Amino acid sequence: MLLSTPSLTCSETISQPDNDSQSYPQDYTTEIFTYLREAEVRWQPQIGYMQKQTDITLGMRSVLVDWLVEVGDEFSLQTSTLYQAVGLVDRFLSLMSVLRGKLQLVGATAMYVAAKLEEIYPPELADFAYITDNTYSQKQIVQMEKLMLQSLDYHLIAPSSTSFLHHYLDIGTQQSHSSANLQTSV
Amino acid sequence: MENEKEGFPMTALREIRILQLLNHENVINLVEVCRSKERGSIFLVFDFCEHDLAGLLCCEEVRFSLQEIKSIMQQLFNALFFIHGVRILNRDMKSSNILITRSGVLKLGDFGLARAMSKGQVQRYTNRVITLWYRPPELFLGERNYATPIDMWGAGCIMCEMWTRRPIMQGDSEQKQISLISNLCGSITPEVWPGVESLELYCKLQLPSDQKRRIRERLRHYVRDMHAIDLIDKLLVLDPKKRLDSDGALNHDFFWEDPMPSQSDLAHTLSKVRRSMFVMHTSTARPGGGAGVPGAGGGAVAGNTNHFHDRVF
Repeated sequence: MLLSTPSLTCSETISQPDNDSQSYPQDYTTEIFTYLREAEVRWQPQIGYMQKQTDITLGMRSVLVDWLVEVGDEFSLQTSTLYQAVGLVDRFLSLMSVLRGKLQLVGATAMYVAAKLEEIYPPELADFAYITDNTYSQKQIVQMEKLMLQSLDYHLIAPSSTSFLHHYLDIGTQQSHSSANLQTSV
Repeated sequence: MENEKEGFPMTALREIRILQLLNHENVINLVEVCRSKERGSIFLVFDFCEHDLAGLLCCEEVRFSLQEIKSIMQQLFNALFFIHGVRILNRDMKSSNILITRSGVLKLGDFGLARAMSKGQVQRYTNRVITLWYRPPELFLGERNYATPIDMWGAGCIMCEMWTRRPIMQGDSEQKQISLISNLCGSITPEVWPGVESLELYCKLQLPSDQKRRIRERLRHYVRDMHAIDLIDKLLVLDPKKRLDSDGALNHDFFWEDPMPSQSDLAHTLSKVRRSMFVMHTSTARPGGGAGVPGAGGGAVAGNTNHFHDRVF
């Protein structure tokens, strides 16, 4: 999930979608795509942030992400919620040094914030304390939420790979329909 | 915030996210989010605006010329064109949410009920949005797959207010409001609105029958400009599919015939207003039922001149 999107030259690959395509409003396809690319870079986690962390490792991050995938399954959350949550974790860890004992708290909180943004019926605070096996109290989650929101300066919207995926799929389908060559490997 | 069981309020999170996405001269700009140390209250800090439209219209000394009205409406449609272009519905159009600076710049505010439109499929949005007086007929009939025309209805109501000086349809219940709408715009029938019969509440509500559309004759007493009446007539259309969109409104002759919209005239008129004009967001300003006040703590930044008495609401 740390993968960045392949770099495309917009004019070459972003063609106007078909009329029945549901992706973006037709006239603005290129603008929206360019904006998303800019925003993605602007809100990217710092590359190599893990080297600055003293107590946690990339391995622990993978375990956390695996756990977040499970949590997403357990509560039947949207894919976008999961991706946003992982994005929040990475952006938070780019700014804050976190002890290994608190890493899961960061993960649960990120998922909680992402669910409130993305879901129609987000799970409740108590559910998030419960899925950590009550390792953390509801109060701790709320405190972490406050810290996370403040340190990210309330900028919670970063495009994730899901923001681009649908669009790439559209392009892919279109081009194979018109038997044109795919110019980049998506 | 202390009373929030669920941490940071979901509505506030979403409002902040939408505000951060919107960057346009005629849309309120979120400067920052603050939290008080002791009680943890949340404040959204916006650019300073001296007035809101409802407040200005309440004040009899403020008289708007046709150029000034055109400028206000043009800026409002610019704001709607922008937010609808990026697929955001405001869902709380009303004159007290239209803020105006002393230099005559309009800012559309309050995105507490706003949402992004999803793509594809038939949607099931909540239809309990928008203050009663500005709520379009399709919401009363239970439509949940609505779109940008819901904001255009509100814009039509607001445009009338520029001349009537107060909200044109002040119902105190949903039933009363739908009667007022039929009274002005004619009966809701499948003839004027194909497909209305399939809406959930079409058979359940008491819909006044045999009402004629009376917009033009009713407005004639207030509005002398024929283009203005024509534009209002095209905005307050019962069938959302036939309602004018923001692009159509901006291209309407109203904005392209003399006298042309003038923001400098507006600034001149407003420079004579010595006091900040706000309609307080209190229960008297909002009818009961329907749209609730969003949970986000709104705040106004301290003013930059001594002439103004700021109210934090």
